Amino acid sequence: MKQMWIWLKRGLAPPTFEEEETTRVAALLNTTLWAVIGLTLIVSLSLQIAAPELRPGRVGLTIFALVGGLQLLMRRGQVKLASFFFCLALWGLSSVDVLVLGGETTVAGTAYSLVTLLAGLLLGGRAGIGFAGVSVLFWLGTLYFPADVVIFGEQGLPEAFVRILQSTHLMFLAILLHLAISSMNRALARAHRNELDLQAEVAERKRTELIMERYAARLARSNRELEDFAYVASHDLQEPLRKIQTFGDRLQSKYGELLPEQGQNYVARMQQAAARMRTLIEGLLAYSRVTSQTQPFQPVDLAQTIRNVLSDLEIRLDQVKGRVTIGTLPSLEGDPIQMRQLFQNLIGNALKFHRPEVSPEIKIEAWEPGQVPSVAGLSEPVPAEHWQITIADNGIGFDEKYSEQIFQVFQRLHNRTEYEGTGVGLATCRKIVERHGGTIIARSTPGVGTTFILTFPQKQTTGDEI
Amino acid sequence: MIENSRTPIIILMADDDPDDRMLAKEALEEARLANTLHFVEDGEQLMAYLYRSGPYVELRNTPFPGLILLDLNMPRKDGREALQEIKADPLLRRIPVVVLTTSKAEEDILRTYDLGVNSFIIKPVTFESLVDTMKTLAKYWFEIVQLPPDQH
Repeated sequence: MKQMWIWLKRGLAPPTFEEEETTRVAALLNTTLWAVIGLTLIVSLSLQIAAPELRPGRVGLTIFALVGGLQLLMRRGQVKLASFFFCLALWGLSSVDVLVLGGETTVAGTAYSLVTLLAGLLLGGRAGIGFAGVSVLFWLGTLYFPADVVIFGEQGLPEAFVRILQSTHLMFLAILLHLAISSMNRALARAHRNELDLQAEVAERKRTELIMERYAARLARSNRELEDFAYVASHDLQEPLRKIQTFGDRLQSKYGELLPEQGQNYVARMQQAAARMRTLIEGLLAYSRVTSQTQPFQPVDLAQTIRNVLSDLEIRLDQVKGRVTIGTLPSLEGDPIQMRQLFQNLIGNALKFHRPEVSPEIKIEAWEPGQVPSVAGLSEPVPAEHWQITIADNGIGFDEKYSEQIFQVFQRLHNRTEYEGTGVGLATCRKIVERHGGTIIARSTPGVGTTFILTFPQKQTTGDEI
Repeated sequence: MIENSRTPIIILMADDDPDDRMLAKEALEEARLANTLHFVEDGEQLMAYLYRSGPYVELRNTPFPGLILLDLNMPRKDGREALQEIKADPLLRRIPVVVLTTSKAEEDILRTYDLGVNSFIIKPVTFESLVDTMKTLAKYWFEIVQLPPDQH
């Protein structure tokens, strides 16, 4: 008994599908089919009592079979097809109505209205119009049929039959109208809910935007304070340093001979330390100026920039017998002075960290989106709308585990007796690259060489400038 | 009153930094220049000196300095303001003013030339170059250039 109840419940419930539309139509069709079963039962029983000669049992069973078939079709997934067959069957029955009862009764009117409404709900507006059109043609057409085509005519059928048929049509129509109206109400409620959700989302987004704006303002303020501090500190530190250097210099030249050798040694070391400090402060000032002294972005011809840098480094190039090969380089949007600074630092480094006894050879190439640069074992293609510039040298290289550290301010991998430098150069390079919305990484093999890989967006969007 | 033209020309230096004043004095001695070097420590003192007012009343009827070396960053009244006042005064503006400062700022250079400064020099770092600068200044302004005739 319980099992039968479960089957009944399963049978009564409509199937669900992935698409919401299909599920809705299936629900409607399912309700309608069950309504048909119910009505057929009522009608068959009533007719059995009122007009048994019509053999309502046979018709009833046929209808049950039809509905069963349509349910199966629907649950197999063919919802649209089941709907169409159902409408067609109903239309067929209604047309039989017309033929059996003649064209004058209002039964045909409600029957065809039913089919039209159903088709509209299940298959869409155009189907409804289609069925309505065909119904009208057929109904008007019967006016011109010869009388003997009409099977029974009014007098042949019991009044009861006609009444019952009218009633069932009316009930069916009412059910359908109810389904139609509640479907519409549900849609309206859904739309209203969507609108409320949308409003809530817009409000939320506005709130988030406000938070972001305030945060950005705070960040900008903090940055400015840091830059002011860096500038003032460097500037004010330079003045006493200058005194130390000048008086140290004075001491050396005026009273140097009066000092014993050890004393002269002390003064010399003091001067060297002061000179180093000056270079450090100047480097720090340059680093802080990357974001404080900027020029607006404009087209920069990289080939020309590098040629300028090489001409600046001419003496050093001669000294170490360095050779620089430049591939085809693009033009990109950037700050021209900072681009020059960037390449000056990178090429300068390549010249500085050359292997002893080996003249530095530097190769500068550019790569387009989609290309995989054939240097340093790179395997990622250049992302869309970006340029990649590689600067490869044959210098001393470094252990790749330091590849992030070298970009930190004041970080060095050598002490100052091995190679001079402040440790600010690469940090400045990274700051410049990041200001342009790009990235810079280093790949290296000790004893073989180093490659710097710069990735820049081809176009700068305004508003990224800090 | 016509002054003895063999009186050594006075160089007036305005600088708030005692080290820089001392170094300038030494550089001048090292350069073996005959000029007298007078010092003032800020813009207020500079104007008082030039107007012969306050503590400088006794300087009345003595010749004006032949050259003013002016530092820009000084307390109370800075070099830029003093420069403006000097070049606005019909009597004082004839005195050549050479700015001698640590500031490399482009806007300072532009502004002071706008105000009519005669030259802009960034303070040399080494003592040697300071001596050289003093020698060159003296040679240029006192031997090559014709200064306006002595005034009080």
